[in-house]
Amino acid sequence: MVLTDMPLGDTILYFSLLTSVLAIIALALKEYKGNDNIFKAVPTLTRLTAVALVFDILLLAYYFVTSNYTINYVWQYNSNDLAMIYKLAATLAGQQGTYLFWAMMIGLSAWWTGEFHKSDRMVRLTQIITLVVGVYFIIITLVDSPFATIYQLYPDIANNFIPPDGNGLNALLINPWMISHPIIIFIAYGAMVTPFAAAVVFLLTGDKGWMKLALPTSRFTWLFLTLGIAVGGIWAYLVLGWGGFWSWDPVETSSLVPWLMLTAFMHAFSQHRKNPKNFELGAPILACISFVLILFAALVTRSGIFSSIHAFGESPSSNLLFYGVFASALLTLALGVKGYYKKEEVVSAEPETFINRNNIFYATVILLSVLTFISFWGITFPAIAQFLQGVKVSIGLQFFNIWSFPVVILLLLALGLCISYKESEKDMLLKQMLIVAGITVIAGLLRTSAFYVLDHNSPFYVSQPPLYRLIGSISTWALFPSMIYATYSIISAFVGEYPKIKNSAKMLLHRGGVYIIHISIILVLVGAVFSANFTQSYEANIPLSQEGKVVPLQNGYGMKLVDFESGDDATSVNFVGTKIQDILNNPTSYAESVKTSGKVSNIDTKGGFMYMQLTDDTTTMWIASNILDITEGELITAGGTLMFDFSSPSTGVTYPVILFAGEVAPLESSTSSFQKVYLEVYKDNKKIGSGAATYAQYKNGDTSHPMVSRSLLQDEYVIFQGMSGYAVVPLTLKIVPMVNELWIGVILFSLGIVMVMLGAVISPKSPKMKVKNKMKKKRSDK
Amino acid sequence: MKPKKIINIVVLVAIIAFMYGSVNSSSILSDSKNAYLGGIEFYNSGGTGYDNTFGAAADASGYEVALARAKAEDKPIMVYFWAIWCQYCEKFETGTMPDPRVKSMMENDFILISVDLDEDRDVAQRWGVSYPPNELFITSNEQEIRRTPGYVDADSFTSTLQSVKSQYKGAKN
Repeated sequence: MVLTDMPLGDTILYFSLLTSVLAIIALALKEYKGNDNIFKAVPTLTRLTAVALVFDILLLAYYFVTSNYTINYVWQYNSNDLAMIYKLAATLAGQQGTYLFWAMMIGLSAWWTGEFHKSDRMVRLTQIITLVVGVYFIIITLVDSPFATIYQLYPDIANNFIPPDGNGLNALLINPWMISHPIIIFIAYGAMVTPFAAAVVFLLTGDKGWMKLALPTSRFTWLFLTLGIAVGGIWAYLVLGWGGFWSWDPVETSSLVPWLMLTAFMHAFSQHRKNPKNFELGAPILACISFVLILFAALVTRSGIFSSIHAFGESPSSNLLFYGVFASALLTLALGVKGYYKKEEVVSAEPETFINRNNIFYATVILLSVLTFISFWGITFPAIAQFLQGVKVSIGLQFFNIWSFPVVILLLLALGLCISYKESEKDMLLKQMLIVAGITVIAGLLRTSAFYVLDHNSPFYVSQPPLYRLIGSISTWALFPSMIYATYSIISAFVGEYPKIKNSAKMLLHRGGVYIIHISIILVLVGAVFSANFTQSYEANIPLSQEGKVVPLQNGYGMKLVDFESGDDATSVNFVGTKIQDILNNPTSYAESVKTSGKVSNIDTKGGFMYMQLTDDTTTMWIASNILDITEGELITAGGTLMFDFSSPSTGVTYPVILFAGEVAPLESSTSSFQKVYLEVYKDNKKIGSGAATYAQYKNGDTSHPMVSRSLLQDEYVIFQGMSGYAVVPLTLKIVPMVNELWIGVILFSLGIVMVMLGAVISPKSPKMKVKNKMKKKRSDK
Repeated sequence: MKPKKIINIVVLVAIIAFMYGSVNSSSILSDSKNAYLGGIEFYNSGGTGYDNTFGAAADASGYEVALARAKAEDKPIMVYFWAIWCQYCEKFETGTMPDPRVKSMMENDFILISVDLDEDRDVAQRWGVSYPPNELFITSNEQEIRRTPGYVDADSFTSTLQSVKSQYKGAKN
């Protein structure tokens, strides 16, 4: 490839590759040869890398916003009918853009590590590993570059050809959540590199400085991963056919797997920070595994090995990604084995009791790891079977629920015991927990119709193996004793601790955040369990003639069709042919033959011709046609010849330029159109919810946006998938209980992490403390 | 260290049991020749290596073998388009297909082809099928008899099967 042919974006990528490699060399020389000469350039080099990569992603976004269809990636995911915000969002619609974004996040991480920490050995080695990962991602991006032009990829295309329109986003992606979901997820994926790099350095050197690097970045990753998964869940909840907020789809699950592992890490790490002997091996290894699992999640999405509704198809870079997963997993394993044998020599001074806080934490970490493994295995095993034997196996959608259920109960019991744990009240607390465990067993034996772990009414249940049926026959009520117990423990622990922390804003934020995180997990569980088990569904076909009347359904529910609207979304009409402005600018070159399109107005039918104005998104011109069935306001394409200074005998007007159109056709609906119903939902003749449901057709398919009327205890969720032919509006009403507790739980969870992060940055002496200290001083002065 | 070691061993044993259990309890949906959906055996549209090809070439695909067999046995063909991640397919396979009326008609009166949309996009494209599930009925000459896009319940699928059957017979006479 000649350098001058190289797209600007690729040139910048090569530049960032160069600065990264130079920075790695400089850091390595300093580390192993004590060479300071180029080391001085490291801050500049990492800054350049970060700036170059940020500039590159902005450049790509610019290409999207300006619809530069000579770039293949832009052509693939952008189209003229997209609103500006979706053009911007489409930057991360495909794998090429997300890899670039990922590389940028790693560039920023390497810069952050150097910029905000005193350059010691820990920082330098962490930067080396971060940059090596960065180089790997820059190469992945280059292999299948988002900047590749259509001329590079399709040599047959003429050099001056510019596609008039792009392929466009999948209709399901034209959704407000598309704007935030990918960016949040990839911020999380990218930020995970620092905890990983710092953990590797710690495992190699034993330098305790890794905590100051891993702590803020792992919390940051945890926060964004939580939000990313939740936003994906809300999106899936609002899109028909994606199976609600959670359906254990491989791609969905693959993002939960690193989240669970990271959660295990957070627990191990909190103990490790108190005493570096705790989880000395466990904490760094869990950080490494979390990173491997994040790469694995990308592989699940991109490789095409895992069958998913969320799959993006095979990509040329997936081999490289596979090597990345393999190499990082191997490194983790090697470091783990090395650490394990080294650690065995250390004689532990730990008390040999079975129940102590450290051991409960250990059990928690193990349980979270088991939960991680269940999800991991559930998506991996079918892929292995397919890869090795060429058979497709079904593990059953219920696999995850069945196996996770008992583990979640054990986790809740551990939470209840651990969070209010006091060594002095150990026996009493243990007794409490065992009683709750006993009640759990009894609750599990309750015979509750339609509230078992597996739905007994499903024909699927009968075909399950005996072990599944056994676990599936546990009543879901078994979850509640441990849930109530954990809630009680969290609240009583907070009440007990409050007097000790209330005077320190730092402690209040930190401990308060921890309690909020735990309580919100219970809210999430409540929301998930109730909404998954007790959603009711009602069908209704309301004729347009029944508009304004409440149509009764079963169980006292009713629906009223308030209004119906349909039409074209004028802002996104995609006019084809030559733009009218171009015709008027240079009419002689189009005189012989021209095709254009627009909206018809001012029709005047005289002398066997229709004279009318045609307006597109540029300007207006006159056309005449002997095809007489055109209606006012219609969108048409018109082809024919131009006449200049034409005086019409029938209208008596002289037209400077007029198009005589022999061909007229309705503009094909590459435009988007929509149908919208305004609805009210009634229960026992009382209005309980209202809103609008929309059915829209886009260039690449159709979508329906359900009406969702939210309240604290239930959502009224109405699906409308377009009119059936007979002026009848087919509707499905779903009553989804408690789902907002789930969303509130996620918001609280995120708030809790933010509080903990804030608690870490503010100074230990809160204003309150200062005032008190001052007062004390004054008193003592007196 | 003792308690932790005990926890480790217990968990390790549990995980191995879990892996063994899950592998054993999983069910095969499709292999190189057939698909087994809702307890019914289908020809895998992209499958190869059949023992009896009903006069089609020895290396014929499952789709071609099914056409040949439909011709030999004078039966209409049902082509079922599905994907492993498709929830309505699972609903169709666990709710509609096991219905005794549906099952017996499908097995006795039709030649069945399964098209896994993740594997065989060509057949789907040829028939203009863009999403699963989709139930397409054709003759051995690849003439379309009828198509039912999406999920349908057992009652209405029973009547669909019956009317396709009579339509097929009617065209013969």
